[in-house]
Amino acid sequence: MSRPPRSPARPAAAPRVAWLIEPRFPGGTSAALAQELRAVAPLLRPQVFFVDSKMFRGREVAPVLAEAFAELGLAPVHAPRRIAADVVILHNPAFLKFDAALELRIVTRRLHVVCHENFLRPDGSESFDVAHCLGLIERASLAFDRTIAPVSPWNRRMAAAWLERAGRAGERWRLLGENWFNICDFPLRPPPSAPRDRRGRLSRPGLEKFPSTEVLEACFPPHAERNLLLGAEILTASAGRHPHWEILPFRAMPVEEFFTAIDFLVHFTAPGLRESFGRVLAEATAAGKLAICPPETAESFGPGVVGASPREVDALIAGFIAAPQRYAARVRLAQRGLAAYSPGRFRAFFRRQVLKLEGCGR
Amino acid sequence: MILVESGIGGERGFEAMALFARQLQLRGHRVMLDAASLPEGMGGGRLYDAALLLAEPAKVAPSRLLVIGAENLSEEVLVRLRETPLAESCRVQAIGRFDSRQALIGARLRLSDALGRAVEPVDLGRLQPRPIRVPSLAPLFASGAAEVGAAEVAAAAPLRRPRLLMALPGEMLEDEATLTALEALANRPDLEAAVITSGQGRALLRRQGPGLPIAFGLAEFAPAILARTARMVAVFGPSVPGEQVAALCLEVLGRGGAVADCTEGESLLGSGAPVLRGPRRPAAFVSWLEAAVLPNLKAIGAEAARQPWLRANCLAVLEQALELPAPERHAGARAGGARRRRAARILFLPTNGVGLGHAQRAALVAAELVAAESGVQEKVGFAAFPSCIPLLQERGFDCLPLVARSGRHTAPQDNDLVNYLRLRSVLAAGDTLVFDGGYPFDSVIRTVLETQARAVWIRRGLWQPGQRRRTPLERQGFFSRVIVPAEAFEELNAGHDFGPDIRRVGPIVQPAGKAENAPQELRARLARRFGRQFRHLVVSMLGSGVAAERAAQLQFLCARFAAEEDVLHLMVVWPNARLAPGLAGWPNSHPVATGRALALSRAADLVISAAGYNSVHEMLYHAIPCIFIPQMAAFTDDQERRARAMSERGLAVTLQPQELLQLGREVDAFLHGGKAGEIRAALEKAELPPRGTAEAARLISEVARNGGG
Repeated sequence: MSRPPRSPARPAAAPRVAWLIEPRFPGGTSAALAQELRAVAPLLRPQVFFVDSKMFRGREVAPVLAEAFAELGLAPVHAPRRIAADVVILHNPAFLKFDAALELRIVTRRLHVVCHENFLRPDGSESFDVAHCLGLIERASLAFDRTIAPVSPWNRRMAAAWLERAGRAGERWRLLGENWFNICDFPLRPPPSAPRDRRGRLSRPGLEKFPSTEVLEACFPPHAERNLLLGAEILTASAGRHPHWEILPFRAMPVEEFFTAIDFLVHFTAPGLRESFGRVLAEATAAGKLAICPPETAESFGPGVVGASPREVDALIAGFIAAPQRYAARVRLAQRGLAAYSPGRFRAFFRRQVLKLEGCGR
Repeated sequence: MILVESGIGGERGFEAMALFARQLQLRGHRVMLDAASLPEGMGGGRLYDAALLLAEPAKVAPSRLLVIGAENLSEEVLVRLRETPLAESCRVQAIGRFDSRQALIGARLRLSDALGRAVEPVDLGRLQPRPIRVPSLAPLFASGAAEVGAAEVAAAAPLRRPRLLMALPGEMLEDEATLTALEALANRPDLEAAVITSGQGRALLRRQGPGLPIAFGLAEFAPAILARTARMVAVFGPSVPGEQVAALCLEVLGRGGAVADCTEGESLLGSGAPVLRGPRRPAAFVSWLEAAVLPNLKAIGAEAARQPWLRANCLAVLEQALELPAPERHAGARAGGARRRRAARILFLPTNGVGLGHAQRAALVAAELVAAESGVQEKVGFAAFPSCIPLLQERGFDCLPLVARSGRHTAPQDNDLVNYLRLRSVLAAGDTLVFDGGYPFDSVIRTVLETQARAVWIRRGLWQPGQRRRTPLERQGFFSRVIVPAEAFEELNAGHDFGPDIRRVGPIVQPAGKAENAPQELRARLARRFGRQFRHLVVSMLGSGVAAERAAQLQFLCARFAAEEDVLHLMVVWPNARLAPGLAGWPNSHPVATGRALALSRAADLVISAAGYNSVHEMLYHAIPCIFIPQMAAFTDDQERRARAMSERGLAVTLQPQELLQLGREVDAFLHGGKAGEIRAALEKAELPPRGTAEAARLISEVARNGGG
């Protein structure tokens, strides 16, 4: 059997690595993947395969991914019938939740499934039909080793809990030893010298991203100088009761402009949801702004990001405004925490966990 | 309190919510819909159901939220739910037919994220694996399957003849053969047929005139209510026309009735439901019904009730899955409306808005009831519009005030919605509602259906030519008995309809009381009251401008009597009526607001009156000389014929409104030419049929005691 021609960029002994992705995720999954492809480009030439799922049927490829493909000169293969590679990486299996089958054949030594979404909600209920999605992947693949790769400590805890609960289905998967973190490669900006009570939040407009109105009222009170809620179109109906909220639709304002307009990112979600990674917190930190979120979410970013309950937000903000140096120190601490998610750190992780295969590579 | 929501908004979502919520409510659960979920511009019969359900969650604090159609949750609904104030302890359950585990998880999470709390999914796919096969948003279950047997249904049914409900698509009603079949069914003495159809179908039937079955809209009445009147449903057309009819079929099955699937698609049969396969064409249906179904109706219903399918599709299955506490009462055992913990009530409802004719008549019958039976006084009461209340209270009756229609209301039926809620709150099964009026309002019909109160309609017998439209008469079917007070002259009674529920009684006319029997004393009091002596007393009762404008005639009379010092002209003005400004301040003429028009008339030398039932019969039975100026409006009876019947016998004079000069001449003749005496003498000699007030009271009492028949 003839082997496919080798990419000139790929060292002869390096394993062949293929990414199997649904390229239409509108948010964090696509952004993280774009960063990932850029980060590993010095190591290998990625082979990218697109899957067309019911979840995103009819949508366009995420612009952030299209840019990365163009930049890296990649030509993804659409709807492949067969994928053969030393390592296959499948990002975010949740895209399969509405499909009855994964119509392709994967032949690989190691199959990594990067979680992105938490398998379980904080109350222990499933976030999606995980067994169904993993089952489709299992049935479509022939692999020596199948791993579940969590993206954060919380995400790991949920994946581990699911695997334990899943019984025999869980036994066919192994939890990867390290977290497959999101790369945070943002330019770092200095914190403001005199932070003001300018608060904001930024998310997709999904209901799961929003806490109750009472929590929002506590986090974005009338006495704040500014309450900028970007991606909050679902709150439009209650705008009349909250004239002090500036409610803008998702993507109504460039992200850079948003972070310039605020000094505190206050990020709470519906109580049933826990962010698996919390990319927006990293973006705020890089922009030199202080991020406040639930302690479990802050955990991914070290002590610089402030973990708090909604009721503590007001007092926290008042305290940081009164002590600008403490504010700046906290932001810089958080920025140092971002170093853990640099492209370089990711490449090191990638070498350890992906490229290191028996009989392969460096 | 259970708050019901639907996964999708708009009219479809609201109808499904109302359908399910009413079913639960009639079952005995306390149920509400969020007032904010009512779609803009929603009208018609559905508002009556909504009126029983709408409330503000912030004020009611529901203990449970049931979301139906949860397999398809719209963003619009979720955003609204997010803002719905719910107590921490409020339990949330999502009812849906989820086609995959992911669909169930997704629905649970979306709701849970919107509400910020745990949500329990209830999968109808597992709970009800063989549902009635009709696309539906509302869960479709039979209310009474487990509890109500055919015998109980028969006992609860308010109608003596089995009612057959035929669901027909509008286009089928364009077919002459269908209409012929319907007419045949409508004229069967052993069956009461009714049609359920679209707005188009109802319009087609209405155009056909009388003689066809009564027609209901598809969503006009809650299926659980309509099913109470039915022993059988037959569904025609390509398929079952939606969840309302499907729910009706289930309700009828659940109550021990029979269902015939006459659809082309056989969607009911295909579900495995215990239904009969019926002919597809109504023409063939009639003979099939006669030969195969009617003789065996009871056995068919009982057999269906024994089927496992029905038991698997009864509401108790869902109630158990939802862990709903046992309802306070069951639909079959107790009807909606007021709970009766008292003696059976007889409630009269006259319809007058401005005049007092119906109120007068109803008060006479009520008084007769009280006089005839000891101990009935406290049971008899009135629900009345504001104009009638003083008269009725004066006669010693308690009144539940009703709201009159007003241009200030947002929609024409707003007042009737309030009246519906009021009537429903005072009536219960075993009570009797006596309606006296030309057109039974929706509030009346619905109250009767829901409460299963017995109902009597005292209605006119004299219709204008072409006025015997379907709309008023088709409502006869809701009444246990129809009482038609006769006209005094037989030619006016000709051409009446007959039926087992229709009873004719003699004319109902107010007798002379103490006040009426002392005309000279009254004249003396009037002289004192107006500070002048008079020789001639003229009383005009020409209405208040609602049925016909009579300001010109009254002004003519005022102008004429201004020069006649020996005349006192009293213009009777009904309560709430407006007097034209030009009628004020005339010498010798005075407006009088009174409920004692008969006493004034008996004291008068001449009455100039419209020719309503009460006025004409009072003139006739009390021998009062009168000039009639009939009022003819779309809603009045045939005043012209009634007045002519009097004048042709020399018992009165009838004039057209425009005959003002002749009016002047006749007034002269009556007051100064001896015509009043001649007419009075003729009246005193007239042979009149006996009054029917006592018989009407007896017939009502019979219904109140035995349910009529």
